[in-house]
Amino acid sequence: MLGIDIVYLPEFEKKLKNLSMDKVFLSNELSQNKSSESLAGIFAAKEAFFKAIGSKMSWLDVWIEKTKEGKPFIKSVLIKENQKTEVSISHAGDYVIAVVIIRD
Amino acid sequence: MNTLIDLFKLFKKRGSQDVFVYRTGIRKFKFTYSDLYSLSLKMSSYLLAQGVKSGDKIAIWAPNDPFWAVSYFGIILTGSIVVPIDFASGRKRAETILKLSGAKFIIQSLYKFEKINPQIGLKTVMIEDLRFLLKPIKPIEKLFGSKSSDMVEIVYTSGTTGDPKGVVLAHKNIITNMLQACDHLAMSKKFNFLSVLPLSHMMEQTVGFLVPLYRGDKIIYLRTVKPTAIMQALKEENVAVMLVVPRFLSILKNTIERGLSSKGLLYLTRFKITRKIIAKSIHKKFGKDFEMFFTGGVGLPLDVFSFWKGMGFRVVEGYGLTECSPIISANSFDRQIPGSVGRPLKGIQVKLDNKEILAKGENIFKEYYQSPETTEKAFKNGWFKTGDYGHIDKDGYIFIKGRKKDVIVNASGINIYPDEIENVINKIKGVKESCVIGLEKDEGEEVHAVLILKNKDADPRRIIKTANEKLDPLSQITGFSLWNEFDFPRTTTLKIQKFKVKERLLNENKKTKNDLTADTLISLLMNVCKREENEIKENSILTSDLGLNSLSRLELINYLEQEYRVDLEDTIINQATTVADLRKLLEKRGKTKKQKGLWSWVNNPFGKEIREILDIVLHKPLSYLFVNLESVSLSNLKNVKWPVVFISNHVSYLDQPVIMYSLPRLIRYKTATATREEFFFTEKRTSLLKHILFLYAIVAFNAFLLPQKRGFRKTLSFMGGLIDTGVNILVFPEGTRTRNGKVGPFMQGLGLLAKELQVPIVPIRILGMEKIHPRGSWLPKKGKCKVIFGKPLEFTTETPSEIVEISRKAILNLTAN
Repeated sequence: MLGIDIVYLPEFEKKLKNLSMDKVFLSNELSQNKSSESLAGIFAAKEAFFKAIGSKMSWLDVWIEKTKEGKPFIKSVLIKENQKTEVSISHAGDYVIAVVIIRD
Repeated sequence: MNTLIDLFKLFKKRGSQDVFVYRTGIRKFKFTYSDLYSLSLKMSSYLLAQGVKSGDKIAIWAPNDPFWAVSYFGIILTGSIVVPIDFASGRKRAETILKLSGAKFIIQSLYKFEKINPQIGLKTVMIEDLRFLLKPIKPIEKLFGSKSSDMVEIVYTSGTTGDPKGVVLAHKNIITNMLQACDHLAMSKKFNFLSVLPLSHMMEQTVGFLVPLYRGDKIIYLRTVKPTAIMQALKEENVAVMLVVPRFLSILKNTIERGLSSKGLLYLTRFKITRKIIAKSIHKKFGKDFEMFFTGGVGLPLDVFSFWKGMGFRVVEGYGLTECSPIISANSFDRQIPGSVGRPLKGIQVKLDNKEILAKGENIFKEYYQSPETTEKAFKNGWFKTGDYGHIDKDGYIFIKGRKKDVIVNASGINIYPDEIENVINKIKGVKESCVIGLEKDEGEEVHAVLILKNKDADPRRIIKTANEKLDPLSQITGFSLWNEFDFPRTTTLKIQKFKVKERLLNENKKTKNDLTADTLISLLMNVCKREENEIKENSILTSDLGLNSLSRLELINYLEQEYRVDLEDTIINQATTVADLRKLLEKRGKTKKQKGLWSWVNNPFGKEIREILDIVLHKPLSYLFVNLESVSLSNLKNVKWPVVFISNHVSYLDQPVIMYSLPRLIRYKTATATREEFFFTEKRTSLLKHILFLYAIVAFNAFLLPQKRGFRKTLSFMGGLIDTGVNILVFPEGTRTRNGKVGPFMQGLGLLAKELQVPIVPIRILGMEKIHPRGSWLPKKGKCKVIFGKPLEFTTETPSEIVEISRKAILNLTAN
């Protein structure tokens, strides 16, 4: 299963400024990622994940962490233990894009 | 008592008495007075280690939270000065205040999108991290020797022009007002306070924080201040007092009336007898101990006061300003005069000067920070000029007629400053002058602009639209009128007399008022989707027709929650949702289905009794037939802080009873087990046998369902509830029995669970069951089984997958030898 999402940074910053962050991000996502670019990347990855599973669930049921080398990985309570997920996030100027694959 | 440090010393004596309850939506964390005492001492020690010196300014830009209190006292005990910043305000305002106050340190929150980066001369910490950071720190031993006249806090309020003004408050100002407020309200019983207004405002700080701390009361804080969280707290925490802004009371009134009228029952509120019945059902929602609302900040509309009074609620209105720390006058607990803000507190002198209210007393500030000119203008012969107008009746009750600042306060207690909006409007082409006021409307009024145009051709709708694009989403203009005279009514000092403008607007024919649109939902959609009114039809699909994307969906839900005071999951909007669908959802007020398989009564004494009897007569004898059970290293549980979450590898269906029988009896009957929902209920029809099995599992084995797909967070709150009542939880993190005898991968939910529940995790390894009752077998064989208990694990800042990793290793490390 495959999902993709693109986020326009200025829009992201404008909207997130006035939202309660705990609806979208887990505390460890917030403490590991202080810049709006990386939060936008997480946001895009979560949305891409929902596209991959085919339905919209709580933003907190899926989250992004990073390996020691800084490569992001995605985890969720919404998939089976034997399913594997992969995520890739990229930034260019005002845009952030993320792709998620879920495999059995 | 002369200083806040004297107040602090009281906490030590109160010891294990509860001071705070912090409700996260999943758990309720309790803090005692001695916790507050020792954490504050540690906070001081932390600040000193960060290089903070007495006299330094330290900003707190964070939501209400027990650690706000810890930070507050931690700062004061070092002799440094608290600079609170409204958590709702943006980074720009926070930066201005940091600059004006020269703050050296800022305590901010992870949950704010825009953060202040540390820089030379400014250090920072996240309030959420203090929970872990303070743990290993040694408390300071000597408290700073503050004098009562020493500055202790600078509170910034909006100035009518330019920069905010810093109100300098000394220990004696705040302590005096705190004592005066206690004396005036004269409530003898101990009360629980629910704190939802920002602590950065003096009203909440003095009346909702320092007063209860002085009296030895308990304060409840919410991680997320949303309608259901408030109602749940009222019901479960025996709340007696809640500070609110008038707007909160009027929205709640509308919600109640709307509910009644949708059932055709609104007319019942008109008769005394039937009103009593309705009042009773409303009181039920507020819990049995509810005593009063305390309100202030802006005037309480008479109809709102009468409604609540009619329903048997005590609404005590007070009056004050930040400069007065803040209360000047208030109604009392026993007597509330409609339309009046009550009598001055004992020790505060009040007089009128040309109708302007002047006040004098120990509670009144000395100066604006580094601003002698503004300070001088604020006083007249030693009397503080409030800038508000009113009259005083023969009994000394004050009635306010007009307020200087005319701040608009929305339902969450956030201040919207009209002058800031006027500044934006006045710069737009075609505008001669403007005046922004707050107007009541049945559904989320707020900000109304009155315009005087330069010429008749100027398009007021375009002007408002331009202004709204520049304004903060919180201060959006939602309606406007044109003022057809040459100028607004003004005072002798040429200030607009807003109360006169408002009076005239209210009296005039409604036609002159233009709402941007009559329909709240449509106007929100116009704003969020950036569409014109005629583009939005009832059958428009939100995503494809109106271009709602994942970001604007979040924004829309946020607005809807504020407007309609409901909790909404943004999953309610899918690819096919139309405007009409959304309208229907809002009418249903976001009610969601109850989740299956979460029964809490099985943990009451009766439920325990049933389990114990079943065990004695049936389960235990059965298990002895097959299992020769040995528990290993039970001593690891000796010094554990109960309750805990047990995690175990999963080999057979009999794992649960086997673990239970290896636990001491007292712990056994206080442990619930998470069961996979998919085992009982799949998308296919569930057989009768499985239904019966499911009920048996709940009653006989204290099981609850852990869903795999939807509703993980609801189950998490259920688990939080169990932990709060001292019940342990057993989880099999593999989610399924092993297929090859090895410990399989763990479910990721374990990480979230450990982070949210914040209790020790005790690893358990079961050995031998793979021979007794392996996967696929029907009847068990006789054999030996070992249940090994590991050392409890405690987690702080680990990420969810680190927690999963560490927990799994801990189980793997438990071996037979």
